[in-house]
Amino acid sequence: MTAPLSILAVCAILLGLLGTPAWPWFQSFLNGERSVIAEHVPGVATIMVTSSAIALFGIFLGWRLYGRKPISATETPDILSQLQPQTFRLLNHAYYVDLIYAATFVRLTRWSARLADIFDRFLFNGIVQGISFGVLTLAWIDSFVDNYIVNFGFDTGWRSLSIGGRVLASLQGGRVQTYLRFIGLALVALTIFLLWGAAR
Amino acid sequence: MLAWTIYISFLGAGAMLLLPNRAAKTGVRCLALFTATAGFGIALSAFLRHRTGEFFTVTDIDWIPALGIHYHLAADGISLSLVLLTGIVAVAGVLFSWDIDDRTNQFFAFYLLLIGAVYGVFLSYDLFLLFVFYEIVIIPKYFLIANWGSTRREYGAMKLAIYSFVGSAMVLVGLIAAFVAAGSQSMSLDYLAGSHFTAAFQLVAFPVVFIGFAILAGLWPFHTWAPTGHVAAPTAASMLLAGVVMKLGAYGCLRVAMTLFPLGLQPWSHHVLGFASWREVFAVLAVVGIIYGALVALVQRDFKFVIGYSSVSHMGFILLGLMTINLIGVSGAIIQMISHGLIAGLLFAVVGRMVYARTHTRELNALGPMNLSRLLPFAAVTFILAGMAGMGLPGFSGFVAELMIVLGAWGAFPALALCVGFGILIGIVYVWRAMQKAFFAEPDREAPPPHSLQPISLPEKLAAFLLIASSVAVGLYPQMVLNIIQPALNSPLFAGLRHGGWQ
Amino acid sequence: MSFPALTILSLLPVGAAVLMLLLPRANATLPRVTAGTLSLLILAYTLLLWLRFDSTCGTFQFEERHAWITALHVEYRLAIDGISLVMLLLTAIVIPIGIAASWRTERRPSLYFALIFLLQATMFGTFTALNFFHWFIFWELSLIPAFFLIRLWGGKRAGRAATQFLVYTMVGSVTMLLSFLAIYVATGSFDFTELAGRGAGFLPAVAANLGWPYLTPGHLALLIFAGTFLGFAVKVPLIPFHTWLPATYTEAPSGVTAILTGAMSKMGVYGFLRILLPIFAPQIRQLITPLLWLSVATIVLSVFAAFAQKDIKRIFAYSSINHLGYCLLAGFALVRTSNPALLPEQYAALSGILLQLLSHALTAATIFWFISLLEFRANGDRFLSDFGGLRRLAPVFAGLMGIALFSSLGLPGLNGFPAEFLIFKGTFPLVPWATSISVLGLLITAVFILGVIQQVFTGPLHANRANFFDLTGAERCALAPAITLMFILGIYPQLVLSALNRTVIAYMHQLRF
Repeated sequence: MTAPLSILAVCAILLGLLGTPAWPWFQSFLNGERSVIAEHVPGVATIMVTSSAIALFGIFLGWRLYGRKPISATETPDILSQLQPQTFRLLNHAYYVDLIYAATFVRLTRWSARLADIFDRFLFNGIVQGISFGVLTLAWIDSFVDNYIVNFGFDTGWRSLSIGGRVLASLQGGRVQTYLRFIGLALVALTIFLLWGAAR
Repeated sequence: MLAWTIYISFLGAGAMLLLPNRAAKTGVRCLALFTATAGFGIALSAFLRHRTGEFFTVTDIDWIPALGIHYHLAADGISLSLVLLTGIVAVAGVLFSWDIDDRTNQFFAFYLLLIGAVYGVFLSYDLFLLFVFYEIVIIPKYFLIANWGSTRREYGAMKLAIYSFVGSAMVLVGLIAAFVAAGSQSMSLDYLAGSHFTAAFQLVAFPVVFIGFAILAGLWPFHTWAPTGHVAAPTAASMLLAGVVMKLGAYGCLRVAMTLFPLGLQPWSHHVLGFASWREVFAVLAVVGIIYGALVALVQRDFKFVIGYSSVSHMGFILLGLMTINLIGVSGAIIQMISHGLIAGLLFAVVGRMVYARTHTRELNALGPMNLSRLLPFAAVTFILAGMAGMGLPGFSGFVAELMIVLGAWGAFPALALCVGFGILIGIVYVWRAMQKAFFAEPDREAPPPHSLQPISLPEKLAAFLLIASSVAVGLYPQMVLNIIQPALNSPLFAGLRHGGWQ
Repeated sequence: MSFPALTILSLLPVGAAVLMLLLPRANATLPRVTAGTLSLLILAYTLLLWLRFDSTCGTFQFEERHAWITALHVEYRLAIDGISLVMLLLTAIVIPIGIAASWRTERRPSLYFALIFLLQATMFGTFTALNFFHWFIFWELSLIPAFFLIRLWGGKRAGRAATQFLVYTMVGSVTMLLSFLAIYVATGSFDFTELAGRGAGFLPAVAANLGWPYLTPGHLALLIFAGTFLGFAVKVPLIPFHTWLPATYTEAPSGVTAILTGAMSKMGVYGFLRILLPIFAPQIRQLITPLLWLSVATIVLSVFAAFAQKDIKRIFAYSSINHLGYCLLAGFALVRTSNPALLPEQYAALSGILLQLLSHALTAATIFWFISLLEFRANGDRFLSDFGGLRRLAPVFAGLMGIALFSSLGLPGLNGFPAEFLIFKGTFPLVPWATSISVLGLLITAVFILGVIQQVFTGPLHANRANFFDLTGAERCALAPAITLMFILGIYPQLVLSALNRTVIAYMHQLRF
């Protein structure tokens, strides 16, 4: 673990050479102009001194707490945990940032994800399935209408017509006696009508 | 020369009947194929020769001079396209009937008689002659279905015959009325179209004649003969029935009803039930047929019923196109006549000949487990292509026809155009459902592997190829038919219709 | 007569399909090798077109124009500009990846590859056609091979998914057909460039011409726009018209999904750019706020849904919706303002869209390629819980798949970054609030992609995956060009952008509202 950290540290230091306000050689290079070493850059001195001081203090603290007597075994409790237990706990849990994150953003994201999934599966899909169900219902209704109303209507019409035809057919039996009988009856009726008319 | 399409078919039918019952089946079939191909050849040569689309007379002989009736055959662009369609479907039908074993010569005799009469209707210029041929069509139809059909054939055949006779009766009444009102001089088409009947007369005569023809064209609600009839008929008969005979009705609507009585389409003086003219009534009925036919096809269990109801739906497109009364809509209707003739033929052929004749079942749920896509790959591919054509997929003839009809509808009845869109969508769904259930369902793993089915024979492949190629040709290059149809629609014969204003 | 380069481009895959069907059945390797070679040849031809494309002019090139159906004013007109060129290129790149991802198909491989080539032919046709009739033929036909690829080689619920895909897309297509027919009735033209060139106010004039008594011309224009919009919104897809996508992408075999996400979804965005924006710009401006909300919803909802998934394919299905959502956001933002000061931003946004299309095609297709490799090694398991610790057994696999996943995430240095950067750079000044919310998309993408990497590659080794083997030499060689292209496009996107600049400028110039 130390080797990567050392590399990162060296790179970080080198990066610090890029944007120095005193000598903005990199910005000038990008802008295509010549760089000038600034004589006096306002406000920078405070930052430079403060940041270096903090860094040096941190190095000193590290040497003081851990550098003089390196920890021999992992079970040995940390010095800071004995000197300042609260600070140690805070630092150990990384300022509780992870916990805050998990409780808020991560939980929110998981909830949104589940909601989007349900939305998709049941709302949108439900609408589509509903439309297809509606069309099929319409189709069944139409099929019913066709078979039992339209078709039935015509079939019943024809059936009654053919019954009528059968009735008529029974009158035309084809038997000469029936025809003669009707002719005879008609003759009698005609005679009565003519005699009656003549009697007037 | 074109008249020979009729004569050859009749002669072929006669020759067929004279052959002894014991005659070699192959000889009979070859004779039938030869006759049908000869008719197709004549039609094709006439189609290629007459590029202008104008009317030309084929034969004109005095027949009953006392009534002014001539034996007058003539053709224009519309008739030529439909004659060509008949030729193609006839040849395909003969090829698909190669396996008829029972009384083969009688079957083909009736078949050729039917074809000849259909040619006659399309070529007639004298309306009496047209009516005669129209009636002749009914007889062989009945026998084909009653003798060689399947499910409930007597009922289906009788129902079909009765509906057709009622329709013809209405047409006859209208024709006689027109003849008398025009002065009893002649029944020639141009004479009757040119005599100016009174508006009141036309407002009554038009619906009578139109409905008379439209019954055969499957107008809702007079359509119920179609599903039963188509299902009952043997394959070649259903191909002809749905493909060509229903177009006779639509042709009659255009050629007779709309040409003779164009004022019947004018708006009425007052509104009845929200309708303002016969035009609106029939347009709405047509759209109802489109959507209704498609919806009912969606829930059918029998494969052939799906196709039967799809015919009703597609005929609705034709009738809507006719009612738009603009050049694009009516041209679209005629292209749909051609397109549906080819596609219906193909669909019935796949269902009846390729599948039913081998599996002896038409139940979609029973066909699924048979794994037909593996056993009959040619049938599966043909049905996919025919289904694509039927649902109006671009690249096939159905798309061009529907496009033009919707264009016409946008100009004339915008609200109905939206309904047509809904109808097209349902059309896609039911075709896809039938195709999936019949060919691509999950194979039943427990059932024993089905015995292999007879492979698709060469005549079937030839016929399928002929129909698909024709559909693709019209779909990709419709100009070749539009070139003769549009001048025909612009001819003086339709002048009365045009005064309603081509839009 | 000039060389019909574009017709040949569309016919090449058809020829390839026929060739595949004629191959003898017995051999198992022959179909794969033939298909792979043919797809690379087609890619070479497309690259040739690219090289001969003149980047200095922004108009249409390689034009072929013949009369076809004069009665309907339909012409056979093919031409490409920079936008079409990008589409052709990405299709040509995605198909070999899809074929490679399907390398181990066992059932009827010849038919499978033939259907893929037919699909490619229809996509080429869509991207080169400039007349609606012709374009619509290919648009509809593309659904048929896709349907059969999903249905016949897909998973357990492939039938339902495929049917839903077909019917859903057809609904959009039918409404689009009705809209275009309405436009034709009033203008008499099916040509895209002619309709686009008619200027801002033509659509209400169209509506007035149709003469509907029930709707004002403005409302009718909106209705016509809605019809066409639906057709493309279903294809991209845009929430809430996307419900067909997760099921379809999951049930389809991974090779087919690679092609679906890589190329077919781009057809929708192409339609937006070629047809919807030029012709309907005023209508989009009228509805800009709801449309922007829809794109933001697409970006955000899809990415959260992706995070909630447990099936790897489903995760990337939703991720695909998310990535194309950025394209739509930028597309709508283009018509936000006609302020000439913001023109450079609009150029950036449009360039970003095109680059994102190319980049997402490459990345998404490669990710599904990796998923197919994963599935093969895991006997079809593809849930996150089925994997773990694979980095130890297959370090090269983990590394290369990691690169592809980071590219999807938008890591600088890989191809995802310049595209998303350009889109955000261009759209932020145009629609700040929408862009700000969309940044959530970037964030959550990172979250779930890192989650995938963590659950699949790191951690303890999953018990079932003890015999997970690393990439073979052949697979490494096959993957190398794709991965290299990701780096090249990431570091030097100018390679692609230089050819598109003129087209972008000409396009924005033509976009009048």
